[in-house]
Amino acid sequence: MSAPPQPAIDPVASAPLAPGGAPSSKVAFGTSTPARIRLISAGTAVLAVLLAVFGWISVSRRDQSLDHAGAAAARLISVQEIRSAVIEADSIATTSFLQGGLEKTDQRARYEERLSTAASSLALLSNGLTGSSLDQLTTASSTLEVFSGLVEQARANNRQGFPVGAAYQRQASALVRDSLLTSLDAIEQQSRSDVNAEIESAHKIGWVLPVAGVIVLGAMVAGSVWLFRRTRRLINVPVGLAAVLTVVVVGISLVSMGDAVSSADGVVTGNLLQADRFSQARVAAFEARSDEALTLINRGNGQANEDAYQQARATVLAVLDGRDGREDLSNGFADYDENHQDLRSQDEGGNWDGAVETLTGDSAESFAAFSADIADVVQSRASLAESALNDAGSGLGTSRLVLIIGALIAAGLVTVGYGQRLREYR
Amino acid sequence: MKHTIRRRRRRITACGMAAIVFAGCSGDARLPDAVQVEIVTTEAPAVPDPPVCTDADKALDPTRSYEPTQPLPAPGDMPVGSTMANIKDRGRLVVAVSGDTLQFGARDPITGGIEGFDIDILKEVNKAIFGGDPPAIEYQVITYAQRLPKLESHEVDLVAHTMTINCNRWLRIGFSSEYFAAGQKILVKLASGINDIASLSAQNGRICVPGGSTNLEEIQRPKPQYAGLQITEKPDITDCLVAFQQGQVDAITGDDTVLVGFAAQDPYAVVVGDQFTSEPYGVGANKDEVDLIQFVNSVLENIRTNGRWAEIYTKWVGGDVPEPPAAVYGRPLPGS
Repeated sequence: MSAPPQPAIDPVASAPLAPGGAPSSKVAFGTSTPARIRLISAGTAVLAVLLAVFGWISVSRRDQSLDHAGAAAARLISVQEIRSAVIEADSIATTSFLQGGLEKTDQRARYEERLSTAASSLALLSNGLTGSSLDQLTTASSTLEVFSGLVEQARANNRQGFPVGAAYQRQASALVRDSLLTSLDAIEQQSRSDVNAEIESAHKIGWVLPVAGVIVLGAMVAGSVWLFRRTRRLINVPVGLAAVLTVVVVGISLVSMGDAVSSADGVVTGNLLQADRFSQARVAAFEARSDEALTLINRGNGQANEDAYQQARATVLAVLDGRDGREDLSNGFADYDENHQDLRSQDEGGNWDGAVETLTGDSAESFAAFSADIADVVQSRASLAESALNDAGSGLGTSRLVLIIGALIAAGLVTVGYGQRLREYR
Repeated sequence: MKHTIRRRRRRITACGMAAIVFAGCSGDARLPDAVQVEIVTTEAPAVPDPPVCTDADKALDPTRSYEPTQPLPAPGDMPVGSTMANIKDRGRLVVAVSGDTLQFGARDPITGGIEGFDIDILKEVNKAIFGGDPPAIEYQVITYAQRLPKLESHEVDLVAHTMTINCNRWLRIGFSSEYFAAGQKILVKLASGINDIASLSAQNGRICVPGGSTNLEEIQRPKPQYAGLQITEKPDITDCLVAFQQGQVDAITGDDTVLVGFAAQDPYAVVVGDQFTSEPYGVGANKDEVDLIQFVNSVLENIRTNGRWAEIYTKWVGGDVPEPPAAVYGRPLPGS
């Protein structure tokens, strides 16, 4: 202690000379300048730590929402895959029925493959489903079993030449449409709503981080202003760095969250939407194919089936000729539809045999070409959508780390910065 | 092109940023609901109510047909200008039949050919027109509802489709003499202890019947032997067989001709009891082609007497062969 004692200063408080030179007397806790600095330092540091915590939660929540949106999208794609499998199985069954015991081996193999795909995918789908969707799934699973049973009865009767086989086939096809597809429709629509809800929630929870950032920054600025008034020291380097760091890490997080959300938006309005649409067209096309066979199975009693064909056709065209439509697919379907018209005029002209020949010949060929093309489109869009949705949130892990580390460093800098001022009072 | 894509992406990002701060844009990225397309189905033109017999019409026995052609012209040698000569010139007989009434008109899934009692009757007519080794008949498989219109529009020459001769139909088409005496019966499970419709009714049995059919009208009549029946309607009588095999009903009622076909498809089903209605089957022809009807009557007359009818009966129905239904003639020729 080389400095001469300064009688005007209270040694107990050991406070340095207050700015303006006014000596301070002993004051209550937290009201003296050093105590205030400690309080501001601790408060700002705590706020920065809170920023780390809330930021972590905020980014994680968004990440989670995007994950959930991805899971819902995957479920949507999977349900549509099941729908395609089931209705394709039905269309094979109805077509094979007309061939009786002469059904082709590869057709039979495809039918069985489609059924087992549907069954195993239904089993997998139950993960993550709750409530009414799970009930619908249970219904769909048991209906699938009844369906395959009826198809076997139709085949057995048909192989013996019993016309009652046609009634069993009718019942099987009606079951697919009235019950199975309806159940799957409900799950499908639920999945769409889930995608939308999660995307919406990813948009909504964005305010936590900027608000927390503004509060921390406000605390730093307010603290610095207060300090400036007391000490006339314009800027404290560590606190200034902390403010800059806060702005940078919050900014990085906001941009990466914005990017994640907008790329998720892009998937939803892009590949996922197209996968969804083309998949619906694909299912409708299988329905049309199945209805085409049913008009012949019902031997002239098939007006209802022809109406159903037209309905399914309209759905296919609505997608293929609509926005994001595909001309090559449109043309492929038009080829098939032309064969269908030939088939109808043959049947209506009393040439049932010729109509069956068209069904299993030209019509089968053009349909196979179309269905392979649209399956490719659906699958490529679906896998692009799935991987893009998975990737959408991938930057969030890093930005979450940057945020938490940055905010903690800012907290440290604040403590160091105010500590420098504090030492000046010792 | 590239420029547009970049701009679009930037717009999306801007929207994403805005979303963070203002929670806006959330309506932008949504998966729309499933595609719904309403198609306009053209309403079928209203069909005028079919003509109904007056009491005077009803006085005439519906099974009464025109006198048979006597003598039957030699096969291949049809009278000039006759309907049969036109058919012969065309080179084939065009007929409309059922495709799923087993034993009467049904497609054999193995051969693809149509066969049954109705078909054999038509083959006899074909043979009589062309003689020798006749050309193949052109079959049109039609529904019940198409039977009269196909004849009225001259799309087919003859219809043999388990079709009951009745007064109202005579106003629109012509019929041959009766070639089969069908009637309504019931089909039940083998060894069920049910012998007729009265015993089924006594057990409050469940019975399946095609909706809108004369079979349904019959069992809805206030008769004591029908009182206890629990009726299930199905769109098609074949659907009744499915319901029967699935245990949803105890019995099916319909024409015995159809039920015989069901029993042939299901060894555990049996047709029991007596006919409780009378359904005389006739071959239908266009109303104006009276010469063709007379020709068919003459063919039927021959097979009744030469044993061919009994052969056909044995082949498709089996059991004890009854006497062929007696032909009734003397219907006044149109315009006479």
